[in-house]
Amino acid sequence: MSSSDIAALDIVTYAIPAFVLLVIAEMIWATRRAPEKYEPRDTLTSLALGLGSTIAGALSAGIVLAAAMWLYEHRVFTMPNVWWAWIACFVLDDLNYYWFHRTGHRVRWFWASHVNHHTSQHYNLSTALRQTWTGFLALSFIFRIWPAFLGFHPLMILTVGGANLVYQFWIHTEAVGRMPRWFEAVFNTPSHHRVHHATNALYLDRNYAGALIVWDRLFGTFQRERDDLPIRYGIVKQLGSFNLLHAVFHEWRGMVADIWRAPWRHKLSYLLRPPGWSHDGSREGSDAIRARWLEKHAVTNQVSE
Amino acid sequence: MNVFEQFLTLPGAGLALQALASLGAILALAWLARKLQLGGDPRIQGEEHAHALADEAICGFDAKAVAVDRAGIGAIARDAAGRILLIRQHGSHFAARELVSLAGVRLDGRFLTLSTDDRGFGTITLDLGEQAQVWAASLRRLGASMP
Repeated sequence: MSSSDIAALDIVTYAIPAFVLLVIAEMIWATRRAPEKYEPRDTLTSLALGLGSTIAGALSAGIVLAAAMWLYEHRVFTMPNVWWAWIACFVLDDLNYYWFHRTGHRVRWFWASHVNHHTSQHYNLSTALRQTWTGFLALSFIFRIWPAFLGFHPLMILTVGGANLVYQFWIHTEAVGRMPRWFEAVFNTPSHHRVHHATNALYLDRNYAGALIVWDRLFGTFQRERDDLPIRYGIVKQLGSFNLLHAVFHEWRGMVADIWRAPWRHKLSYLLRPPGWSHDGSREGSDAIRARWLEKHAVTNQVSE
Repeated sequence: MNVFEQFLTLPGAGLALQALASLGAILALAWLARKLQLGGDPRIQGEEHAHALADEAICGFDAKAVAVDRAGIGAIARDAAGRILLIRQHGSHFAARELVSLAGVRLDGRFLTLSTDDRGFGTITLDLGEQAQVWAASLRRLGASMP
């Protein structure tokens, strides 16, 4: 299949007007129901992060596409441009997203880039647009382009990746409670993703899914949203600032500082171990926080519904 | 070909236009959020509230002593291990930092000014009334054990 056989659809660009309209709709909902769900300075930071991310993505797109094309030129199969191949590509890309996202939370190098998306203490549609500027620098794209080697055309991969990103927009809201049971069982929903953005100990590092929640159920990272546990959003060590550049680079700066100060034999660990890890045990990661909370509350937490 | 059409022929012109339009939309949305008076002005309601906020900030932080600003914009808490936690209003929520050095602590009558090693977190001045002097003395004592 050559690139002339397939037309890439820049779904994200086409979706931007809908994003704007839905943010306005949610703001009106918040005005009537819960004005504190939005904070103008937080919204401005989120949207500016979104714009910067789009520009950074556009500037690096050529290199990413070239890398994917190189893999495609050395492919082992050739996937045809037919409906089932598009579905297969979407599902495979969503699985890749799950692992990219899980790694983004469990390896500090990737977390330094992904943390931007989690630094808001609010959870609304503007938070969905709070995206990283440094994804290319972190080499996150490696998780998503390898299906080109299997024979999926890079333009097909880019298109389904865009569709996945657009799907994830609507789940960043508190305006939607729960979806029908069958939908909650298969797809990522506002309820599932609220858990992912929570800083409550029980919810830390759970629900990494993009569009399909089945991956979390399959790989043991699913956590149901509990009605008796009000959610707090953000990161374990809240940013406490609306400064745009601080939001973008704070974790990179912190990581470099840690590496600089650490003894030689621990330097690499600050790059590859989970966020919160420290060589002298002076900090706590999400596993320790969660375990301590579970012990304190003696919770028999059901992993599946 | 007019100036606009000439501009469109430049490399990256489409991206620049898209970025400009997005910037306009962003500013419009931020303006709308302000116009709709979205946001909150949360205050720390008392010591119990400060205890809860400390536990939320550092899971398991069991505050043994707490002082809350008279207007409720911030609080300072200390646990049994001598850890000091500074809590302050941040938009519609609260944020907290552990105080690891006393370099940024100043007492001025009933006001205690504190800053952490995190410049992004900023400096906060708490109106603690008579407790300000007590806390300043307490922090000085604890300071001896800080790095």
